[in-house]
Amino acid sequence: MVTGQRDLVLWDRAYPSNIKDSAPEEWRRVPWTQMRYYNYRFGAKEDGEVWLSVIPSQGDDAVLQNVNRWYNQFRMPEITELGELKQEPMLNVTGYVVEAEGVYHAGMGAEPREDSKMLAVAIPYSTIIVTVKMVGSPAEVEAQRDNFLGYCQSLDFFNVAPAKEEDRVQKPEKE
Amino acid sequence: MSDSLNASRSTKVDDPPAKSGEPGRKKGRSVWSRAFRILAGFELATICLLLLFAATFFGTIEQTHVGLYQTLQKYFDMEAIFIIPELKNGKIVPLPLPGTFWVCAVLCVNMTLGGLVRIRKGWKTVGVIIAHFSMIFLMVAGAVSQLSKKEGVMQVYQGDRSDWARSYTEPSIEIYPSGDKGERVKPYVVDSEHFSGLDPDEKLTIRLPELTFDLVVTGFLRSSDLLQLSRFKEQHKGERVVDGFFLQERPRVQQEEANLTGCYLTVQDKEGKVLRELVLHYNGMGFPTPVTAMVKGKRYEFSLTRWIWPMPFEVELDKTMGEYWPGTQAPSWFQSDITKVDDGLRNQYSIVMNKPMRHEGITLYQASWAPPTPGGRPSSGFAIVQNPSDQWPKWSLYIASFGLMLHFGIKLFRFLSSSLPSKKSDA
Repeated sequence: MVTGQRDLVLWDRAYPSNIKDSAPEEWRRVPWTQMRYYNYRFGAKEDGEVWLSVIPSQGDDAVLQNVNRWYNQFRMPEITELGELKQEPMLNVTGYVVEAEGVYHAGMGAEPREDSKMLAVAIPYSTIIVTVKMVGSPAEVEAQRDNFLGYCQSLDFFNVAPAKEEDRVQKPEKE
Repeated sequence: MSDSLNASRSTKVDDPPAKSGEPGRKKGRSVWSRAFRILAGFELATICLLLLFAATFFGTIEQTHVGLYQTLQKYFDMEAIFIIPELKNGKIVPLPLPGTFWVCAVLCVNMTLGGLVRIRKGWKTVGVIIAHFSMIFLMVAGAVSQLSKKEGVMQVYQGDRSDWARSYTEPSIEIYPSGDKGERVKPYVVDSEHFSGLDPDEKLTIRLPELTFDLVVTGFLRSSDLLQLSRFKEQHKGERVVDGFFLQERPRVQQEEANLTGCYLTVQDKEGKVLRELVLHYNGMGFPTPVTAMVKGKRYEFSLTRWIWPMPFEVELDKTMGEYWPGTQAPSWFQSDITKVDDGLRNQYSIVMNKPMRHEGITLYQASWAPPTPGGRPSSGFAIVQNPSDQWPKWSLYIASFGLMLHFGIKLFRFLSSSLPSKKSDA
């Protein structure tokens, strides 16, 4: 039935938006969507979610707006400065770590989710913002905290395809 | 040609009429002789040509509303034994036709027996024999192409390289085992021929002798959307939900490459116990988007993609240029300067419209060109074809032209020879 094993090609080493990730074994990857370049499930019932998105960075306060949107999803007060957030080095720049707990209103037609916790990071990189969100029950999210931060720190821009040395500028230019 | 053809093929050289008083001889040869006469006869050739005409006529009409891919599959594929033509409004034409591949096979036998074996041999018919041979050669080229042609598309951005092509239309299921460090190793590939004909309510068990599990494919949809239940509850009409997603069938569009296939996959152990349910969907991206599952302590990735074709060389796109016809999205010309890297050997080529690059039976044509997006780079799409009979139709036409020119040249010579008054009669 199986035709055979084919050789690995550059296709096998291509990644969405050239972002290569490395997920812990207990996370299970589920289908990709336009909004979720990487999409994982975790937890005993596999109802915890982790996903990575890439959005364009429009305006100087794009990261702040995005962070406040996340807080709004938990009906929490907005912040006025990114300095209020915990910061971690990710993708060789600063990633902003956001935490929230309560009822999660994902929007887009999804029903509110009681007793939830969110761990998220926003990584502004030139003209884009890489975001990673984890949402699940507080206990399971807390149990995955190290995995989550390790995952975010493992992210790397990687493009295997450039033909010439001078074209090896895969990473968006930093401002 | 037809006069000569008629004359040549109606002349029996190996089957003289039985003389009166020889009934036994006539009876003894009649079965084989009659079979030969039928197979080599004009009647059969005429029927085949009429059937081909009818198939081409209805196929052309049907193509306008179901698309080229489905029409080719229905009318011209080897597996098409009988065809029921359909009109635009779904009306069936009550004229069952035999599959075109098999009509061509019969015509091929007919022309071989009638046009090469049975024909009177001589210098007067040599041109016709050559022309017949060219037509047989053309049909053989079509059969070889049908049986062994591979084609795909390679998309490369300027400054990038590629060593793979992807089928336009044919899906495949790939299973990546993980290496010791979690890296991908050579994937197992389930070819489309095993499951692309499945109906949504059919299932297919895929045995994987080298792995600790088997797979069952169900709910295969040639054209589908993958929807997240939490966001599309109103559209959910009882479809199976796996990992919070469900597949919904959507009308198949004429351009087959635009149809996004989907299926459900059940991972089961060798005893048939279900280990994991998965949903797979092809999304047309230029990178793998597999789902994962732990099976007996080992991580595997599963994806439904278009068949991936590893190339025996790398293509580096050094420069690509093109222009569109004013006010349209149709390219008026395009050119790609590439470097072919084969085992460290670098060769440069320019591929332009109608000037492909050929390499050991593989042909790269430039099929598309895209201008740079703001801040981006232009790209080229190369249609890649591997077809042993790639050049045979061209040679067949050369042979046919030569044969017909020879035949008509001989006819002209004979006509002029018989028309000119001889010296003797002048005197």
